[in-house]
Amino acid sequence: MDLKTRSPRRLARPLHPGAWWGWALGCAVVATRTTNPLLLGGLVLIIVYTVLHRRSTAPWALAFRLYVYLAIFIVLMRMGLRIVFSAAGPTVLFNLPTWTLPGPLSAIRLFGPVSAEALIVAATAGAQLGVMILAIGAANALANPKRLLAAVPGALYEWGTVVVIALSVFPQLAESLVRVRRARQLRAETGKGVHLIRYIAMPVLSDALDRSLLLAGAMDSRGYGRSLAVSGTARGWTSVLLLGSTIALSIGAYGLLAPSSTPLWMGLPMVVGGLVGGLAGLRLSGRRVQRSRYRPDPMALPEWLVLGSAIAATIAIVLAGAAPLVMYPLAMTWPPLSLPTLIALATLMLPSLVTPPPEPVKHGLEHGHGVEPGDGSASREHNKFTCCAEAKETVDERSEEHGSGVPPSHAAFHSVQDPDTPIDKERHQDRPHVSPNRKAFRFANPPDTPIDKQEHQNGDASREQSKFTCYAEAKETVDERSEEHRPHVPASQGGDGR
Amino acid sequence: MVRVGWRSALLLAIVTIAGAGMFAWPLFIPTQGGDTGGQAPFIFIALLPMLIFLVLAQLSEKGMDTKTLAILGVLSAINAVLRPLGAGTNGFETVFFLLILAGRVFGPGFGFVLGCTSIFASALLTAGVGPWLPFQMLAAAWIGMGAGLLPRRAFGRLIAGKVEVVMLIVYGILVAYLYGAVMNLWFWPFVTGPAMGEGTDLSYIPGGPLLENLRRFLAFTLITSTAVWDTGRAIANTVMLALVGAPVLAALRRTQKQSNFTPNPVFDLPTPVFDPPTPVAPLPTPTP
Repeated sequence: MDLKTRSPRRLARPLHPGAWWGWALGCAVVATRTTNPLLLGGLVLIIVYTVLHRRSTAPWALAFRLYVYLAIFIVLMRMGLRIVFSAAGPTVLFNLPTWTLPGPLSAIRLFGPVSAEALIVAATAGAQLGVMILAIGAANALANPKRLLAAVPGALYEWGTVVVIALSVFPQLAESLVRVRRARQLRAETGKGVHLIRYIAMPVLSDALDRSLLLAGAMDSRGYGRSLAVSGTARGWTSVLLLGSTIALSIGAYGLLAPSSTPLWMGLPMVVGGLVGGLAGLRLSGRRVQRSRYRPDPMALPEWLVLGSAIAATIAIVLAGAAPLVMYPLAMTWPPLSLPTLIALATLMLPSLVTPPPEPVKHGLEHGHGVEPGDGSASREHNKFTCCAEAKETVDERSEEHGSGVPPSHAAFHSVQDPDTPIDKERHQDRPHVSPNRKAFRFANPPDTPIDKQEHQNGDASREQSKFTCYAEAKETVDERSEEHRPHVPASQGGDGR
Repeated sequence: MVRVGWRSALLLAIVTIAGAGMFAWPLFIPTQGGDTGGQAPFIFIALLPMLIFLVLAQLSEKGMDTKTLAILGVLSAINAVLRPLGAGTNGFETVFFLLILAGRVFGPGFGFVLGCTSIFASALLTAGVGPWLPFQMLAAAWIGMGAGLLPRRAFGRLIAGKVEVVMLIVYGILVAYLYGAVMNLWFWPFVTGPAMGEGTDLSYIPGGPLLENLRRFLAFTLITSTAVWDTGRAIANTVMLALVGAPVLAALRRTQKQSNFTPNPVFDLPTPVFDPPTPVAPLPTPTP
């Protein structure tokens, strides 16, 4: 339990998803401000390095390569289009025969001379978009989408729930398909071809729809879909804010794009006003949703550093815009760099160095090298729960002995792998003959968890409790251990579908 | 299911107009000198998600019942399954037919939201999140909303049975081409760039005349995608709607009926007071 003596950087934990999205948007903003190949190349290196060093092994993290392919494809496509549709310029590399389209498209000439300038301009403009796509791909790889959905503001809470249901039902459809096929086999049905749609697709669809009503019942009984009574005036103000900010954003976008033909107030002031009004409207609208949050993601120092790096880079790149030749260099010259652009790159590099790794480094499972509480290589929930247990030590000496906060999987892991930790010694003294499996069972259903106590004290809390347990269950990530909540979820809902 | 009051309808109309402008800006926005023209797509990528958030917040402003949430979630999941099924086969996109049918059955508000959540869920599951996502969401939302706005009766008669399926097929073909066109319209400035310094014969001219830009865009979309992708999408919609349109409509209507009850319980009644049972008076002893 030497948590305090360890540097917090060493604790492996995934960052708040919002922090990574902020960083990725910072990278994207820097990319939109420049076509300097050196800057864009630096951004690519930074993004790829950060992703390779800070991504987890989750499925969404492994999809990053698709974004890389897409970015390359965009650069190549833009250059290819340039070659096909006139790439004339001073420095001609090679000549292609010109071809004029027939008929109504006769104004379009294809091929012709291909110049180095045109190719460079096309490649850098394509790279600008490519880096943006890489940045968004990086956010996808680094941030857990389900935890991001858990952090949606109250006004969008229902829609976040819908997406979570969709993600959880997705694997159930496969299971439904298997059941329908087995039923067909039992009835010796032999329809083929188009009949498969009637005999397989339709039952699966009906099954899914029927289950959705069951799920609705299960959600109703857990307090979903209930909203607080909000006064008519508040609702009126919400609508006014939402409507007004939508109009302001639309006008502001027009004003930003055509600054020379519109008055100044139609540009940036309108957009800023629309954003502020919209956020206020969302906040007001979210007041009708009251929910408890289970295991919220912390916004600690690393998160703020990541967000701060994005903001600092944005400011630096805006300052660097004072020298247009640095941001948009001429095609056939060596692109120059300036101090602000280097600062922007350096700050964007920072997150890959200061953030904790998302997952513990895997040690061997041999005896003596197992995971210890508070060890830097322990997983995130483990650390959190250990902290929890540590804090409770002062309150209740026995709570730790019962492992109230420790997830059952970890408790089982300890009892199997690591009998020498102090907790386990205590347990061995306590009950020397309990087998590891029994112990795991005991901790899966701890007799006096704080939640249970709360339930006993306050009958009203039970509903909230079941609500947020179910909520957490639905939001549970694929890789997180959720067995401890399983008993609360009815079979009809299927939980996370595993 | 998703009630659209007059406020929500107004906001939907505004977002539809603003969104159309965000797709079609190269055609009509008078940028001069190209100073901010290159930034335009990026500004819209930043602003459109906010608009979608605002309209979704307004749609759920009165609170949503769980049946709607659950049906939306399940249909989004099915759409997310259907999307990669068709993606490999050259434009045979299967994502829209269920969206059209559900919009038809459950109404325009539901169709709008289902378009958003389907595309979003499938982006998280298979297709990937990118700058195109808000635009795809809005375009799909329009398709669902439009299906909900199709007429229920014509010439005094209810549109049902084969006529309804034929109407939906025609709508499906139409939106297949329109979807391709608006997504091309969004992609167009990215691919070709403005025609100022580095453009081609297919690039848009910032601040140029509407007809000239429209001609260039039509040439671009005809050459790049209409023949293959959009036609494939139209064929997919036609085939799927003709094959399963009627049974899926029936299944959805059945679910709608099943879920179409509002308990509307009143909880603030005075709680019944149980009087302590009055002791039963002893029976008078029969007098002889």
